[in-house]
Amino acid sequence: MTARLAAKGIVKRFGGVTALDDVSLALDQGTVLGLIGPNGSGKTTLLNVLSGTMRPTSGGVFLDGQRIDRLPGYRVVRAGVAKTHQIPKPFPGLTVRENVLVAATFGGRAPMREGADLPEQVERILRLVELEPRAHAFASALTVQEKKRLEFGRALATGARFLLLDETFAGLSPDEVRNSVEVFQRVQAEVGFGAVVVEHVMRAVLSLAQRVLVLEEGRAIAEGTPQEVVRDPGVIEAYLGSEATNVAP
Amino acid sequence: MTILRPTFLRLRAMSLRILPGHAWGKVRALGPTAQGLGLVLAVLAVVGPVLPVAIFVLLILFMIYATWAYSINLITGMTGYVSFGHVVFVGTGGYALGYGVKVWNIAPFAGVALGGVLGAVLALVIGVVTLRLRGAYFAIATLVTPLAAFYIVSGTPALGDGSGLPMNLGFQIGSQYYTIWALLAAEVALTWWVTRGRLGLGIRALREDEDAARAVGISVSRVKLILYILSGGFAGAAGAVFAWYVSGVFPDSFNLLFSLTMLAMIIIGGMGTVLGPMLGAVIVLIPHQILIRILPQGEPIAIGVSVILIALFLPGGIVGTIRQYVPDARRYFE
Amino acid sequence: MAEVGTVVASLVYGVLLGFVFAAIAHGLNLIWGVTKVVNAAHGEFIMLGAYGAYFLNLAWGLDPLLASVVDAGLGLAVGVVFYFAFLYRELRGKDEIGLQSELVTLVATFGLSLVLVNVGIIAWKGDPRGLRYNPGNIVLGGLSVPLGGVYVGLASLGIIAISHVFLSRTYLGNAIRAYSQDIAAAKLMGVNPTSVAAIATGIGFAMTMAGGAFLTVYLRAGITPFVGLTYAPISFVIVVLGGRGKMWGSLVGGVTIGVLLDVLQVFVPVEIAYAAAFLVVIPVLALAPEGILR
Ligand SMILES: Nc1ncnc2c1ncn2[C@@H]1O[C@H](COP(=O)(O)OP(=O)(O)OP(=O)(O)O)[C@@H](O)[C@H]1O
Ligand SMILES: [Mg+2]
Repeated sequence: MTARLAAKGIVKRFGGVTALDDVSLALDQGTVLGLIGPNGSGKTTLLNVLSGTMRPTSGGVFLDGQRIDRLPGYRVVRAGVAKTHQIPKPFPGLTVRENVLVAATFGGRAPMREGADLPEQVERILRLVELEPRAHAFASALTVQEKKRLEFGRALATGARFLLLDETFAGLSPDEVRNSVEVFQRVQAEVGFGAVVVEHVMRAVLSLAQRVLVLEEGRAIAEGTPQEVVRDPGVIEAYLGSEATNVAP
Repeated sequence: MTILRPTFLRLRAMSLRILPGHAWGKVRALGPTAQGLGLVLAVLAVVGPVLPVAIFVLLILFMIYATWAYSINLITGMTGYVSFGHVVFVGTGGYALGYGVKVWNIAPFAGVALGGVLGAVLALVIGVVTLRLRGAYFAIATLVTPLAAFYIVSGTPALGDGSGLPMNLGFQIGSQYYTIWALLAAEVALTWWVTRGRLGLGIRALREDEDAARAVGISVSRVKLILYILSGGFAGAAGAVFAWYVSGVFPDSFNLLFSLTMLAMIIIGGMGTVLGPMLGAVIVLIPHQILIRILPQGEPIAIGVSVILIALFLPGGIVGTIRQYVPDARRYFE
Repeated sequence: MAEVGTVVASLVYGVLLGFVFAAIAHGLNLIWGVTKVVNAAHGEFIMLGAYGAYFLNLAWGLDPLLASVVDAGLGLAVGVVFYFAFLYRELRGKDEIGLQSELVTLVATFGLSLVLVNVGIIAWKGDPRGLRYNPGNIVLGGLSVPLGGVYVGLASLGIIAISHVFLSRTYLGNAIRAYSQDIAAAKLMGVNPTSVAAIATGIGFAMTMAGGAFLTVYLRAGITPFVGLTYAPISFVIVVLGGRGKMWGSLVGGVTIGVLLDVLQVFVPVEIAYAAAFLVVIPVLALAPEGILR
């Protein structure tokens, strides 16, 4: 049976600011949900709630029907939902391999780990995210793209069935984006995780995601296939506007 | 080198005779740092009683300081949380022993155990609230605890008000020596154990970036709290031995300068390492014995200057710096 | 009910004391708010300010108010030197001040504090030095209030008000505020990060040492090299209460602690009042880490 990650009626307030207002979503393992919206619309906050980094003010997050929004963050990871940071947070004084090893060691009982021991597992992930040549470098010495790969690899190494990726392609050159999208697709095909992908780079979202959720000022204003969403008049007005030309296939 | 070699070989031959083959293999697998520290502790245990009393007494003080250094290393060295108020555990342990001995007539050993337990409990209480704070905020939140404790004991008649609890326990340096030896040995072993394997890796990750550590499944809050409790327990027990050693406990046991000395020992030796606190304790305490006679302020000034220079230029301390610049020596300086 | 009268008197004394507390904490608040790192040797500069007032009084008979002006001038210079000696290496070129920088400076300045306390002991011995300054009393509604306390209290208020005007009305003040909010953006606006941070540190030190001069009025047991070991933690507590980087926060925090200390003493032993004034920081940090001001 494929696993399912769902959020129901999520509200998150910071003092007077309502960052998320009654947002719901659901996705199956193996599928990709794109999450788009203007700056400050609540995308990162939604990932934080899904990953147990923040508690929702109300509403619930469910993994295979089990409630996970009251669990501490590390338990959510071990249960199978891992997040990457919008600004990469590697362990700078550890090598790339050690970074991945930490995640593989503490990430919980992973489907990825079955039948392979830890070092093999780490090698496999380094190969998947194309960081093998940099395995012995300190994480602080990586380029931005490599740091983002490392975030991705670390999340993978936890063995999570769902990955929450916050702007993995932002700040990269078009070539780097193309290359990173390829890596993502290859790894996803091989490992079969489900993912929520937050992106500003529209082309990336549209090519990756089966479904897209659009947030504006904390509310979900549209949901559907990429084609449906880009044609939605509300979305065009609220978000795409002048960017629409970039989106046309 | 050539002069040293025969002795070294003889030592090894001796060990081989004492230990069965497989046990010797295990000792070898521990690595040079653990072997060296084990040797130091073994020598301390064996030769202590045959040393002149003056040195024997000095060694007790040295081991008390070393225990404090390892104690603050457990939290500040391992996690990067600067425990400015660490002396609160020292004073608490001292008062536990003082009160127990004076009021309940318990044996000093029991007082040390009580000091350890109270230190651990206090660390639990303080830690639950303050370990959620980062950087300077944690340092400040812990800094105020010994100040408050100072005023509280100064105003509590049962704890002797401002004049503390002097004790009359007689000359018990033998028991003191082996009590603090056992504490130090246990603490060194614990430190060695938590720095390796799965746990050691997790702690390093936590020190590097707490949020990232949480995001890969490390139970950050629990690890920090456990380390803090252990550190409070050892500081409390050693604080009790200190009260026993000086035959009394006074509000000044909460003097912040103790915290600063503890911190200085691990900054100089190397934070978060197994060897660093021992080196730091030697470096801080030996000049103390010399300088105290010439210029009492010379020592804290020298410590202060070393701390400044090391913090700004060699943040790894002695051990960290050697590890960084002399890769060949790395295995000797874990 | 004599109690009510006592409480009112304590309130008045507490508020005046709070103003002075606010002044000694204000410099720390500015430096911490702007550079994002804490000066653990803060207390020793309060101590130096107090000795400065003592020696100026001894040499030229200056009262603490006049001495504070000289102290402030010295503080400005000392602060700039301090910035380059202790903070510059760690902060230069960084747009985001991380935990690591915070720890490095915390530890390095703690070393400085150890050095300064002991240099103080060598230079001036451990025994307390008293400074005679007694301009008499003023009777307010049946309550006799020492004028010395009133003067330094008002002077402290003045310092805080001036710093507020400076930060909000002058080019340099705006540059400092911009730097404290977003270093990268401030640079884009043409702010030189190093000089702004150095000047802010200098101003912080000026206020700290002037505050030390004011504090002498309250150091009834005399000035010692250990003064900083008490008043640095009090300053930390005040800044945390008021909220780091909030310039009126120093005043709110200072008055809170001053009043807490003086009013609590009506009801509990003085030791317990001090313990409470220190411990109050822990629940505040746990519940309102940004301080009690909004
Ligand atoms: N920890 C917090 N405390 C207070 N407000 C917050 C916090 N985190 C986010 N917010 C607010 O919640 C709103 C949503 O922020 P969020 O970071 O989720 O947006 P985003 O869609 O990820 O934006 P971006 O595209 O810039 O990354 C914003 O108004 C933000 O200021
Ligand atoms: Mg975001």
